[in-house]
Amino acid sequence: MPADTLDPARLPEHVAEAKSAWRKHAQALTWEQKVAAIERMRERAALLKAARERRRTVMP
Amino acid sequence: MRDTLQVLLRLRSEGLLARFAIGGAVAASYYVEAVATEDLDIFALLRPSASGLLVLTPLYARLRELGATLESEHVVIHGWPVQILPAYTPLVEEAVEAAVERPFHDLAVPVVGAEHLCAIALQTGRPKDYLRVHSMIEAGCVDTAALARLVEKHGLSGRWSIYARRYT
Repeated sequence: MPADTLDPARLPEHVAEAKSAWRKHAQALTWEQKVAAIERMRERAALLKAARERRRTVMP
Repeated sequence: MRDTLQVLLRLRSEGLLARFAIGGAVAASYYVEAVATEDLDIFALLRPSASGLLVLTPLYARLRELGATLESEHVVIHGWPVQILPAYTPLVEEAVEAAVERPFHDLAVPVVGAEHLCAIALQTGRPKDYLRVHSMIEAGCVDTAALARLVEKHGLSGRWSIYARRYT
């Protein structure tokens, strides 16, 4: 079965396989790549926080 | 991060930070996949002053000279909020002493070992700490016999039982 085709009867297995594959990939990164990923997460969190604060200040 | 770590290594070479090691989520990312974190935890062995107190004034003064800024409990070094935590328990002290230098770009940076990181996480005991232990054990990067010895030595059997109930 092609990788972009899912069998509805096996969705839990598909999800588990996809998560496992992602985890293997994430663990195989170098430490520098992982720290760069953490830095991107921090930037996104800061943007989200700023957006939340902007929304709060414009609320009546 | 590289510049942040370089400042910390510089403080060590200048004798202001006797010995330190990276802990927390950034250290965990050496062993397992990266997870979000707000700060960089540094465990440090600090020399007490003549009065027996830990005086951080010279350390912070030098950090300010190097461009760092103080923000509540953090010192922001090259954009990274850093928490410099004195080794607050015998376990943390042991973890700093046993830390191994790991390559990060062109630097050699002391990182808390996997077993000590798990033991410290058990000692801290928040849900995310238990999750870190689980993630590291599951990834196969922890010598579980060595971790069991740390659990025994530092009185963490109760915390280990909580972990085992939740994750095994």
